[in-house]
Amino acid sequence: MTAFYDNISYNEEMLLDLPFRRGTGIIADDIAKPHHPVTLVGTPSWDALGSGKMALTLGGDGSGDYAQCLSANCTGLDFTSGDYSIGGWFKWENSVDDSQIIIARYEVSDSGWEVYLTEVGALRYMTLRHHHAAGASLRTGAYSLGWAYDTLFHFGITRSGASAQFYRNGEAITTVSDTLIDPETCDQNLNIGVRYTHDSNYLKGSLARLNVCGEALTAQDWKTMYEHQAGYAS
Amino acid sequence: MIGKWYDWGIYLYSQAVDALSGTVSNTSIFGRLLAKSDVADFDRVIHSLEAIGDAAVAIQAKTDNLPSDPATETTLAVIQAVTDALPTLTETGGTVTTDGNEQDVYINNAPDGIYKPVVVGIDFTAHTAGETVVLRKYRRVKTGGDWIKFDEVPYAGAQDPPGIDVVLQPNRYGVKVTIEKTVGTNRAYDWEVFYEAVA
Repeated sequence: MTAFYDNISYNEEMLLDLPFRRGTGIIADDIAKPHHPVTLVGTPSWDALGSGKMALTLGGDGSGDYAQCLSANCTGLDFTSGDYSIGGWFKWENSVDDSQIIIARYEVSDSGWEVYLTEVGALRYMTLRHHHAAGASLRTGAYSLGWAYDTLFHFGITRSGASAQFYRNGEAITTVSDTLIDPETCDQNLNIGVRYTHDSNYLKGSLARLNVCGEALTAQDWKTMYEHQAGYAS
Repeated sequence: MIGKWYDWGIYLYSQAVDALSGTVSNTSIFGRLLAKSDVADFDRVIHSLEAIGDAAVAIQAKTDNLPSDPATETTLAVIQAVTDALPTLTETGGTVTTDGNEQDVYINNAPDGIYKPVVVGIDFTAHTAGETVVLRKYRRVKTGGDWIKFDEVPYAGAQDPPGIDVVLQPNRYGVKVTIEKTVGTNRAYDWEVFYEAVA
């Protein structure tokens, strides 16, 4: 018996799904319908997790490792007023960069969105941020805590209207959210593991899966996704 | 006739709401229904409602046990473990532009376990009378083994039909399909692959 990818509830509006299965080379296949062409830059390595699932290892600051999809090939990820969700499996490590970007399509204080991790003392943040060229605030966002180093997590973020909700390992977690303002339309590349200027905020760690969805995934969607993908952790 | 039953449905619903809120007794509901329409119609409705009610009671007798029955919870967990492990038919694809070297079209270099690649489809629309490319199919047959070539097919000149399928077999240790231009101009070949794998 086989399930069909597009019929699974949380995949119905999936826009980008990178399971990092190739295991070699500089291409990351997108199993969502748009087939975004994602290429690897630098020398990221392909390393299996303890579960055997393949993951992309990024070397962090100084390595030059990241992945990208050129702007013209990912206009569908240029979120402005609509709901969307971002998630995946990752593990991050301590590095000289206190802020490490997981995935982003933005220009600071101008346009777009980003998801990044931050170390502040003993606190480990994950933040969703919208950028604005003008208006009441140049940046609005939401964050959650508890994203420890060296731990494989499944994360989920649902942006619905003016707020966001974070999920960890399939469960909703405490989220502090601004009143999110719609990001301005952005013409930057989709960047994975690096700032849009490609010179800082490098991610150091492993990416086993990343997905971006064009709807607000529900708590049940995230729980189901986590349970379906439990093989990443076991 | 349909409109008549619709009116009945709305009326019955409104009475049921009143009944649940305790504002109207069952006797009063019956009296209002009698005043509303023919007794014969009402009898048929009553019989249908009784049958529905009996079925609901039977269902509830079974479902009431579900939340609190440890044996049922265990069974459900076992079922969920099986369904979570069901493979998902997945598709991906891209475009390969030939450069004269042997290039990967589709590759899974180190699967995490047995999975089932199904087929790679390649679009030869851009391939003209002046091109020759070779498609090859490889897989490993043991952990860390070398790539073993299982098939090699040259395609010289324009292809009709332009769609070429490369059928694949179940795999555990690695599989790849490659393309190599041996004659002519570099061309762009769209491709897609279907495979079954656990999420």
